[in-house]
Amino acid sequence: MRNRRVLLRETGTIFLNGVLYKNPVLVGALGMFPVVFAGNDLKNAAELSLLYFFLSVPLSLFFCLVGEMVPAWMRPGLVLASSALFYLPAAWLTDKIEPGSIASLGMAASLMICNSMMLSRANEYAPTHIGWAVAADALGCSAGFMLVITLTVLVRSLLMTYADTQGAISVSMPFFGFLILGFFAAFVQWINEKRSQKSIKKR
Amino acid sequence: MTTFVQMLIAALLAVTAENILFNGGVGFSHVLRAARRPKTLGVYSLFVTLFSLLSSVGGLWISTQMASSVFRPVLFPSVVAFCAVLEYVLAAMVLKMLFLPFYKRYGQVLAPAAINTVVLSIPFAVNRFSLSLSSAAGYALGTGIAFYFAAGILAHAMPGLKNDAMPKAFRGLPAMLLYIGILSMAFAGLTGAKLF
Amino acid sequence: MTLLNAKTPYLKKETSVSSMMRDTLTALAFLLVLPVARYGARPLAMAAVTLVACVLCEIAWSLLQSRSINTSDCSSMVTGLIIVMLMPLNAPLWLPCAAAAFAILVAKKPFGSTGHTPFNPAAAGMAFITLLWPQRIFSYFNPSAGEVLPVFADCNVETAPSPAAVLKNGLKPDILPFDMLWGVFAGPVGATGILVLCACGLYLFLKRTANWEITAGCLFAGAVMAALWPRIACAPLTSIKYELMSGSLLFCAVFMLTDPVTSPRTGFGRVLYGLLAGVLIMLFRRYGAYEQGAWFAILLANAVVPQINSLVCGDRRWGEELYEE
Repeated sequence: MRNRRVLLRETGTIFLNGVLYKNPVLVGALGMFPVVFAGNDLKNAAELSLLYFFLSVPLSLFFCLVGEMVPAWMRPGLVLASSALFYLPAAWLTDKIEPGSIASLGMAASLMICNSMMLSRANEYAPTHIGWAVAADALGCSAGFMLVITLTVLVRSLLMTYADTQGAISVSMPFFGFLILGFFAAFVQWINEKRSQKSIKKR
Repeated sequence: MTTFVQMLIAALLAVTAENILFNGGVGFSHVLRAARRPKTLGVYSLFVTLFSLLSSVGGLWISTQMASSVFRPVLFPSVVAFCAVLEYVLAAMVLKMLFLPFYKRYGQVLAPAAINTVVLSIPFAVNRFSLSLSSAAGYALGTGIAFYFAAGILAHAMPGLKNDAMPKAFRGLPAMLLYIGILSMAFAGLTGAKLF
Repeated sequence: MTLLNAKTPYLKKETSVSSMMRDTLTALAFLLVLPVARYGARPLAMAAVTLVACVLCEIAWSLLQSRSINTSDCSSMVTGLIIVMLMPLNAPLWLPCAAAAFAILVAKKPFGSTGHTPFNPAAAGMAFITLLWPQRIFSYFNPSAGEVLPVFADCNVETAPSPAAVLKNGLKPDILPFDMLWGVFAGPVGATGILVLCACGLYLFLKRTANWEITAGCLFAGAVMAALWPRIACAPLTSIKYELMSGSLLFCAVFMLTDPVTSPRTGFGRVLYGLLAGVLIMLFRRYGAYEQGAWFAILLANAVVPQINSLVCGDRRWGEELYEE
């Protein structure tokens, strides 16, 4: 019973780390491309989040099972190959929920196969952790990705209302995404700084 | 001569107006990774260039084979990814067998250089700009050069982005992201529009 | 002997950051005289509103950081005035404020404020508003129409293409050289009075607030490119005259490129930097998306400064430092 509670608490911690405290986009600088390139409207954000979820969770769980059986040098290749394979049902599912989404997302959907956040979790984290942790991490990273891309879209949409026609195009360009990510990353870093100060005081 | 000129122009555009990194926002996770290890930056960029070259040629061929397929939007990225895996495995095996000391020293950057968004986005860029074979090769070379320049610039900027005068919240990655954003604005001044 | 690790700007003993900023403010104030004399109080109103915005941004940031408010080095005011000088007179008053807010809150404060900015804040602010409101930035009021500009209200005045826009279209500007010297043509507030600009530049060079090598390098590169690859069918000297006197090249070469924080440390490095910036400005003019791209070129040149310092000073510190991670 006590072990179960500890397991649940640690799983919760791993999930929260993925969402916020160790958000791979804002802390690890991973998987920024879909956010800066395609994070322009809420529809895109939802579709990309769905695609990421359908792709990353099975991929991470698969490599939790087989990761350690593969030589380290070959694992990145196998991760990408598996990602390419899992992309087919993931894209089909996403298109089923949101018809026409894969075609409209274009390159942003296609390059999800090699999303650095997803590949690094499957290659480095999943093989060396238990199933619960890997599942919590994949879910947390998915939620964290969704949070970041949604917030980016909201900020962009707000500024698009004030910019002129050409300016609205400029707001959707990658430079603006990086600027927004910079401030979000600073916010998360500030939160982590406060948490560490709090834990030092507690000791 | 025309082929060479086409390659040169495509390479120049890949570094400037059609810069996939700053104008497309592609692959900065790996640019930052390369910038953090300046001693392997040259080899990392060389690998990226080579794999981009293979990816551009392979992507052109796959694109022509799949031109009439209904499943192209979903199959094309998967096939391109499989080709990238093949290229990586072959390159790793060749280096291990023939150049083992080189592989021991630089093998750690082979996988990230082969498997990243920059390399896999080249076939899409080739399709988007309707490039011929020579232009595609030039574009891939230019992208490798752009990767080297970007990582070099960030490597030099990194020490200054952790100074004590900065607010703690901005030290390190947040300031680096703002730096990349401001530098991307300069490239946006060239094009005035989205790349893709 | 004690080794002191100083931070930029690297100054001789008799100067200080505050005195440099005051010299620059004085030069910028001189630039305001002609527009005010010709067009009324609107330039002053624009400058005042922007300066207030700069100070408010400084205060807001200090409050957010729970630090004491300190605007004594006047650097934010310099940034604000530079932005005003690059504005069209008929621009809405919120436009330079938006540029100033971006310059201070995004390009300056997060990097550690004065002495630590990797990019010229004014250039970053101008680049930002150019990308978001390009039509407002390059819409210049026609001085020959004789209209009176309201002091604070939005302007609905007749506009005219600037010489930079005419050159961008491959045509020769229809303007007398004398008019170009005194700034009687459509263009930014403080970038059109060429003679006054030259006098301000001379003042700054004599006071050693600005480094002449950078300005000279930039203008030399611009002149060479204008002579060898003219945008219009004319004699090389005519091309040089129009390219150097139109747009904001001269203003940027005097006030923005010479920012001691974002420019190289050595004389040779500064010459290289000036040459590079001049080439980039001319390339942006020819191939860029906008009629003026000087501030974009400055951002690119700023990014290359650490490499220039590394090349000239043989500074290899970046490799060892980073490899610790």
